[in-house]
Amino acid sequence: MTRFMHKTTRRVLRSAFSLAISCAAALLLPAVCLADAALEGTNPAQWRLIWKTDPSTEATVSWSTAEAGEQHRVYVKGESDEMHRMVEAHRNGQYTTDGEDIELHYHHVKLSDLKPAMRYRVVIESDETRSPEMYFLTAPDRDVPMKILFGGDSRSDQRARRQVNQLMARLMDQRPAILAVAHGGDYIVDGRKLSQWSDWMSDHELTVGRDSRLLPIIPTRGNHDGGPLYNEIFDFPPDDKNYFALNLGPQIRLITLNTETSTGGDQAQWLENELQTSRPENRWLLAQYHRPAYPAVKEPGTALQHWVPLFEEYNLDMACEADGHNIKRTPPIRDNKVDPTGVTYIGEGGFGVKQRNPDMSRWFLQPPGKAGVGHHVQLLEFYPDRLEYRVILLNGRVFDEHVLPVRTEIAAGR
Amino acid sequence: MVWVLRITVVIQCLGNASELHRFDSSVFSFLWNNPEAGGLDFSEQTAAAVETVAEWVLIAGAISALVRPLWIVLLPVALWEIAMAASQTWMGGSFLYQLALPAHAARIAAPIVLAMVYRRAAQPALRGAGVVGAMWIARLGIAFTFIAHGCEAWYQHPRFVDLLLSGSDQLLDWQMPEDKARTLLMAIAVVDWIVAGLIVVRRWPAVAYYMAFWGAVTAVSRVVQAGMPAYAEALLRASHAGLPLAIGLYWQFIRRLDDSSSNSSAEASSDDAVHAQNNSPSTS
Repeated sequence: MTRFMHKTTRRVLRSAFSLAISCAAALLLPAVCLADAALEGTNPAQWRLIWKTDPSTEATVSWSTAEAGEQHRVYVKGESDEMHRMVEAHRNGQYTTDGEDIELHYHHVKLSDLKPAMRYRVVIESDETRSPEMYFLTAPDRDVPMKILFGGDSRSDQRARRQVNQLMARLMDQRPAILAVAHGGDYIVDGRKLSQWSDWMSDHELTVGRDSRLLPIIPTRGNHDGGPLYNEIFDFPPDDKNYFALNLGPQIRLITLNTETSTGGDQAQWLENELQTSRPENRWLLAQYHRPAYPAVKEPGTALQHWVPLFEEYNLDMACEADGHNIKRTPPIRDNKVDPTGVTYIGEGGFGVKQRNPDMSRWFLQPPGKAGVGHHVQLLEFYPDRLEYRVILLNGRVFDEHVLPVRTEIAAGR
Repeated sequence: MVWVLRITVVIQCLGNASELHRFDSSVFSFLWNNPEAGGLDFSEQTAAAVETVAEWVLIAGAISALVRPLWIVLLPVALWEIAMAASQTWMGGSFLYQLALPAHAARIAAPIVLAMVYRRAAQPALRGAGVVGAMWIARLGIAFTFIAHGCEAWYQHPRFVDLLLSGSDQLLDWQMPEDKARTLLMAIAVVDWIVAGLIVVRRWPAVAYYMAFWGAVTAVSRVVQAGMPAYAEALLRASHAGLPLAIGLYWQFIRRLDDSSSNSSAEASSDDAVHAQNNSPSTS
């Protein structure tokens, strides 16, 4: 009887404790969510800095408001400027909804005539409601070492996505030479659902550093990002094909491709022209796109037929891929076999998505390649003689590191 | 006609099993993904085990189609095809994923039609309700597939654009401009819709044979574009050619039966007339 009483008391206490924990969690959760700027009235929220053109002189500041508002602008001031410059939004509108009961509005301000390697302070204003002051750095025009982050697939594990965003902010705080994050696509589950994009955009605020530094994003369209919202969020014209190239410095060229439109045809032609022009002018030449040519677990995308021959012909250094929900680095590949002069394929996506074990029987994942699982960020550090690659997991542990020497013909030509 | 169906289902099952053996299916995606992504959050091992079972179901389907088509084996094959299409629709992430079920209709119909027709292949049963019903399933199945593919072509499925570009480059040695490929796709869409309508409302073998030809061309175009590694993608689309071919052969066969029976009845009636004349009182 006494034992029964003890057991019952213990059970009641345990239940009460669980209830207390649940209540505390329920009370604390909104507080955590309040880290995202409130979407009320014309309060600026969901800010993001987008790079699609020359990041040493241009950037797009974008944000959302719950109500349409009338006047949307950004106040910007460079370190060497005496006073703030006011730039009006060049594009405002209501995000397209797919039958959802949600109304949000986008605003894009294109900043141009910026100075390279300069710190710019920005304040966003919608109808006299202002955001906190933040800042960003423009890309340098001098050949100095720099870093970028790469990753993809943030679509279906919001908790992990927020953690990865915080990790990116921490990394940027620790390594100020990190210039931007290149996102390999699949931001959310259904690209037509504004509610999901809204969560993603609010979560993206967490990439802002402790000292209010904005981490620019270089976007790539993924297979889950179909529909008009992608263009509305990243300030592309409505019918844009979403492929472009930019220089992160005078010697580093990043080509963003779109696997969700025809990969042959116009895009392949554009890519060939781009590679032909940019290869001789850049020490480092990289491409990012969503569906992998050398996937760790899925079927190869059409990039394998249409882009890989061009990558090899023009000696691309590294291809950054996503979609597979894991971590991958291949050895350099040429003619479908390991070749030191070939192209290294990295990525596969872990910005907040359930992780999938890679198929280690695939020849390009075996040593000296490497693959695995875990939410992560891939850090690329560019130096005159080498490209250092690291995969950093959520706990800060380095899962993989690799050094890619500069191509001999490039080194000899300089 | 029955052998065409049998071979079609054998090829479709083997192609599907081979594809499944090498790569994940949409069913895996549905089972394995977490609920936030629309999945059931099964472990990778469980989802893979389900796919292994499906592989064996498909292999059994191929054997059954070859040796003795049985409902108990072919129905699960059809159910697997439905599961693949339904999970593709549910999980999204592919171009016009909303059309996955009609796009898979021919693959779903082929094993069902074979199971329905096999037992009734003897001549008297060919006009029976069972075979007529099976032919209606076949006609609707291929019609839905062509309608869905027509929609994908009309909305410029990127893969279709690339198939046209690769096809013209590799087969005709002509680098077709992308805008021409897009225009051509719209024409293909209209033709797809017309033949899809015709196969339902008319019994014209020529339409069925055109669909069989086009179904074969589009299936094989996967290999033209991606080379031999894409062989399974071509094989699993065997029903796009096999189903309309079986329909065309069936119609021709029935027409021939009708012709021969009307000939024999005409002969019989003329024999009767001669016989009656011979036995008439005036000539006797």
